[in-house]
Amino acid sequence: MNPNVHDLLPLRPNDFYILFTLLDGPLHGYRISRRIEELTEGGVRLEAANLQRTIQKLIREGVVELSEERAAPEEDDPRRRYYALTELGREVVAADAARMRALAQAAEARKLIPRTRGA
Amino acid sequence: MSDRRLARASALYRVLLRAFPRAYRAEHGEEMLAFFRERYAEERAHGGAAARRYVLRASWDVVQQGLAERFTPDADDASYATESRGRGSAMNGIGTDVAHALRTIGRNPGWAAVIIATMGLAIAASTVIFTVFDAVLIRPLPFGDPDRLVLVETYSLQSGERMPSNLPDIGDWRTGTRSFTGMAAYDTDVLTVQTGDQPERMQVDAVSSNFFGVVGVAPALGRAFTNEEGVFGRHRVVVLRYEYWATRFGSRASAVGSTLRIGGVPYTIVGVMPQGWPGAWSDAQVWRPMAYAADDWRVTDRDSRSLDGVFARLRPGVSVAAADADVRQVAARLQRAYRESNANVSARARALREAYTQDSRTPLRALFGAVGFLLLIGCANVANMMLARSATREREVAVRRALGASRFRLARLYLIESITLGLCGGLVGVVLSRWLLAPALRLSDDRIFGLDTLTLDARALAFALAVSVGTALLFGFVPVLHAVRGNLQSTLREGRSPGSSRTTQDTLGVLMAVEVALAVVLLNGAGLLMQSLRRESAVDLGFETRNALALRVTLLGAAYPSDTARLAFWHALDDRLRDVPDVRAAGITFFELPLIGGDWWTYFGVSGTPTPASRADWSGVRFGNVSGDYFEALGVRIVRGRALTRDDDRLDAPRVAVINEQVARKHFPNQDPIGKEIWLLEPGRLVATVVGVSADVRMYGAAGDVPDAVFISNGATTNGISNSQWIVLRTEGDPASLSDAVRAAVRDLDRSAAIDREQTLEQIARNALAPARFNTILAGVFAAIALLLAGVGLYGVVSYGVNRRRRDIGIRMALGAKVRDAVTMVLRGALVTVLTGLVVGIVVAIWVGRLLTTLLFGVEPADPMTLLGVSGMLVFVTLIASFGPARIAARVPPTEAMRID
Repeated sequence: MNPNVHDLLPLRPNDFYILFTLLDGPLHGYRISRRIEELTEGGVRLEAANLQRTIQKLIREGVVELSEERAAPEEDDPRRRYYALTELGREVVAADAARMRALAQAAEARKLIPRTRGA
Repeated sequence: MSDRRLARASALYRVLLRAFPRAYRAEHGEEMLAFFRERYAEERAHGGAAARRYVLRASWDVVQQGLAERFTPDADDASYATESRGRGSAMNGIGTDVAHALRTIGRNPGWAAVIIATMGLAIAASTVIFTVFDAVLIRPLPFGDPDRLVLVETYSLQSGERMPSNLPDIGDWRTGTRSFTGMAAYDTDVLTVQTGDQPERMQVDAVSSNFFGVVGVAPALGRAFTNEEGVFGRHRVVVLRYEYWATRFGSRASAVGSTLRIGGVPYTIVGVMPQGWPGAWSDAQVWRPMAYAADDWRVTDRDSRSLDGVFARLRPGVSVAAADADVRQVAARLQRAYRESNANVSARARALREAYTQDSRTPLRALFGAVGFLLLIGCANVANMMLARSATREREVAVRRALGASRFRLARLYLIESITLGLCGGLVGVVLSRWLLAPALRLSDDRIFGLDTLTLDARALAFALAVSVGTALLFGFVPVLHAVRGNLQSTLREGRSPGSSRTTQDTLGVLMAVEVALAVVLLNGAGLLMQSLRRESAVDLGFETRNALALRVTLLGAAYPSDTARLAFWHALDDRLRDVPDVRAAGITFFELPLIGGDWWTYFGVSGTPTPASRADWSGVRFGNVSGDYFEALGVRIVRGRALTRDDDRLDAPRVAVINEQVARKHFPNQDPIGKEIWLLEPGRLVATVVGVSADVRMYGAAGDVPDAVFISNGATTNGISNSQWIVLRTEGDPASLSDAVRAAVRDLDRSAAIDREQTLEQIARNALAPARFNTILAGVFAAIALLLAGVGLYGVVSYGVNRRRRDIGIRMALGAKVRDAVTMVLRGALVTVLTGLVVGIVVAIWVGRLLTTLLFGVEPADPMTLLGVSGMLVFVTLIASFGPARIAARVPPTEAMRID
């Protein structure tokens, strides 16, 4: 594992969500926010400025980058910027997911939460 | 999709983006805007309310993040959706503290909103009222060196009330006193002015030629009057108000030197007053020199008094008291020298400001008091909310300190939080003040001088801001300071639940009781005023206000040179008016319009009865000149005999009169007045036979006395037929529908006649109550706000109490107490506080009510119904406010007793 990955763990929840939604490919800001809302069933709503600053931070950390890929021209707005996961980012989000799985397994063992069938 | 709404929302967002530093904005601004627009469109699809909510959320987000980016650009905790972990590197700079304060507000929006709204309301109310108060009572009058100006006035020895003056008296004051450098008379008048072809009735006041010099104001354009122009024959010059010059003459400098016509006679414009100068006595548009022919009654007649006022400038070194004494000694001399005209009057000098603000003192003071109360209630609420929170803060402070935050930093943090809250409240207050000032002015009584040119007073704003921030500091910061400075260990000790300070609870209780007391006073005041207004409106004025229209018609003097000509016109008009469809009755009168007509008094007596030796003891009556079916048009009953008819209304007809019931009672007790002979003006001068008795009419409104009144026909008068008369028309249906027909009838007879002051009798009656209505509405608004604030405060205090006593309640429940007992405990606590406040409040309310008796009509300050209503309302609000916390108390599980904190 890339030694840098470890420095970034554990991820803050919002950071995790953003990286997670970018797994399937580049998205622009608003789409990211919407996906997170769906993912958390309305629990987390990241507004424009909040999202923007978080993404900038993630870019500084090297886990997200600006993407060249855009949506089809007729649906597109030239003001939008699209973001994509970097290799590092992919590693980090995977590592964090693994960390959480380990925690969940420990919780199941202690019967804190019910064991999921077929996990 | 409404593009306009999107555009507006986008514009707002763009503005708010400025919270971000320029570089960041340049880089990412457009992107954020695109996000916003996309989201907005989606929300809009779900309705306007959803869209609005989104705009609020997005605005908050952008401002908060923008500030954070400005002050803590490297901070890791960009997100507020998660608990802040307070990583040490973020704690530097005041900006951080501000960002933190905003975050705290964001986390407790309800709490913060109540505080900010409360402060905002209190600030707005106090600023607006202070501005009004200040304009009337404190701000300097629009004259040069106004503190050296006095008003010299005649007053009645009987009543002490001020009366109009006359030129002979003024002449004697001028020559007989040594206290003044100049004295100038002022006379209001309404005349017909023509600049184009349309004649217009407007306020054209006459002033002594030295007036502008005496009051110390000079025209901005042209010049004031010369002494020469005070001589009759050379007096045909005028000075214009700036606003009139701007609208009528298009602000052209060439207007000076041109002419306009007053009553058909050309006058030359010689000057224009400075912009915004509000005038000295009325809203006059034009001023002309006071100049009369040598044989004019205004110059010769000591008996009649019609001059409105006299301004005088004190000589250097002379005090108002000295000037007053000076004037009085001259008046005393006149009393002895002219028994017939001056025996019952005297004269005095008063500081100008005092004379101006006479009428408005009580209502303004009441208003000021009410606002003060509201401010206090607001502060008490803010104090409550902050105290309650500060109590639960103790634990938080202890934890932060244990984690290494310095005392200084902590203190600064909470200080900034308090200030931020205070400033937010202040901001809301400023905006609200702006917004409230215009309606407040529109509602206000326009007798209050100078009120039309008001802008928000900077000092008031500063004062209110100081109060708001001060309150926030005092109650938000000071209690926390105690925790910040205090002993760390004692706070962190186990078993101590947060906010258990007994003194805090007591303080809250006292504050609450004080709030309730204040609210009671305001509510009582409002209730009394409401009762008062209701009673005043219900008084029968003696004439029928419904279905009648009134307007004033003024003829150009030149076209009607004789009494015969004028009377012929009024008769012709009367005939025309009768022919207008839907007119049931038409009446014409010189002055006798209830509530707004002028006063015309004269001496009166019954022929054959002895007249008192001194004129001062003669009886006086209101002297009405009428034509047409005056009584029927006004809906005044004739209780005996008959009304005046057209036959009586001829210059050569035998003189007859109608007296009102009051005159009949006074002068013909136990007799039938019909057929008896009376005289007016002087014994034997205007003799008439009584042919009818009319019902008493409250000419001065519900609160005034019924004047003695005698009516004769226009044709019978010896003073000459006036060229300006009121027309009153009675109809079956909507009186406003007569307007066009009446105007056409007048124009048919004379195109150059001016028509003005058109209104229905109902409007007249309503307007008479306007001051009372204004007071009542205002008081009602204040009372409602006070009640709301008290309710909110109660909720907070009771909640706090429940929270504090969770363990207590838990123990009781564990020991077998029922849910009902917990609820009772909560309610009892609340009611005790409220009842204490109620009792104190009632006592104070009665005392305050005594101070307001001048504003009340037919209501006692200690009116039991009002007090009962107020008490009931407060108890009701208490129950509602306690409902929520009581429910929470009811749900406290017995296991609370076991909790080790």
